[in-house]
Amino acid sequence: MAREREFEPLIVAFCCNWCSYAGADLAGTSRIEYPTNVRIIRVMCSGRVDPVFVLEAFKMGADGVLLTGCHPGDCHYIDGNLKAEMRARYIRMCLEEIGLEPERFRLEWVSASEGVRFAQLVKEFTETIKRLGPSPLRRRERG
Amino acid sequence: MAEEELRAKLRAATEAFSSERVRWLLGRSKYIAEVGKLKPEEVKALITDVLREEMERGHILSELKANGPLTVPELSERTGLPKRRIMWHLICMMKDGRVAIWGKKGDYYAFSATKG
Repeated sequence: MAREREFEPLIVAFCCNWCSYAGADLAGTSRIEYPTNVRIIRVMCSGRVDPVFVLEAFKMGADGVLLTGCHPGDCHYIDGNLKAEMRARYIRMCLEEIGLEPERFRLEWVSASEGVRFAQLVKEFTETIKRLGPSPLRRRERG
Repeated sequence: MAEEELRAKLRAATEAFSSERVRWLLGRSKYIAEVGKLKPEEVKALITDVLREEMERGHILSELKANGPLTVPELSERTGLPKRRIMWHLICMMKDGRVAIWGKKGDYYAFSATKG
C-alpha cells in the first residue's frame, strides 16, 4: 500500500562567504542537526544577490528562498548587506504583486559564530514553508 | 491562479529587475536620499512605481516574445491592462528600442519585441 509522502520543501539559501556560510559550516562541524531541505549557495556577499537570482530560483521550482548575510555593521564589504536589505523589500513587494506569498522569501543576518542560530533559522523557515505548502511553480514530477 | 499565468508574471518581474531604469534606481537610491534630492519615503515610492511600470512592460514584452507580433487590443486582452496604458507603454518602449512596429493586422498596428 502506497504511503502518502509528507511534503518536503526545497529551499535555496544564498549565504555570504564571510559570515553566514561560516555560520552554516559551524552548524555542520558542531554536529547541530537541521533540516536537509536547504540547498546552500555560497556568494561573496549578500549584496551580490540580484533580485533576478531569487526570481529565477522560484521559477525553477524552489518553495522558498533564504538570503543570509552579515549583521549590519559587520559586512566585509562595508554595506553589501544593507544593499541586500533594500533589495529584499522590493523582492517581497514583487512577490506579492505576482501572487506568491512574500513569506517564501526571507532575509536574515547570521554571523560566523552563530551556528546554532543558523540551524534554528533553517528549522523555522522549513516549518513556515511546510505550512504554506508547495510552490505553485513546483514541478509535479520533481523527486 | 493558473501556473502559466504565474510563470508569465514571474518572467515579467525578471524583466523588470533586469531593466536599466530599475537597476539604476536601486543602485542610486541611497545616494539620492543622502544628497537630499528626495526624502527616503519618496525614493521608496518612486522605486515602487517604476518597478510596477517595468513589471507591466515586462509582461507586455514577454507576451510579444512568446506569441510574436500583437496588436494593442490583443495585448490588452492577454495582460488585463487598459488599452491606453498598453499604448503608453508601447510608445515608451519604442523610444527605448525595446519594441518596434511590425506591420498591420487588420485595422491595427502590430508590435514586436526587438531584443532577444
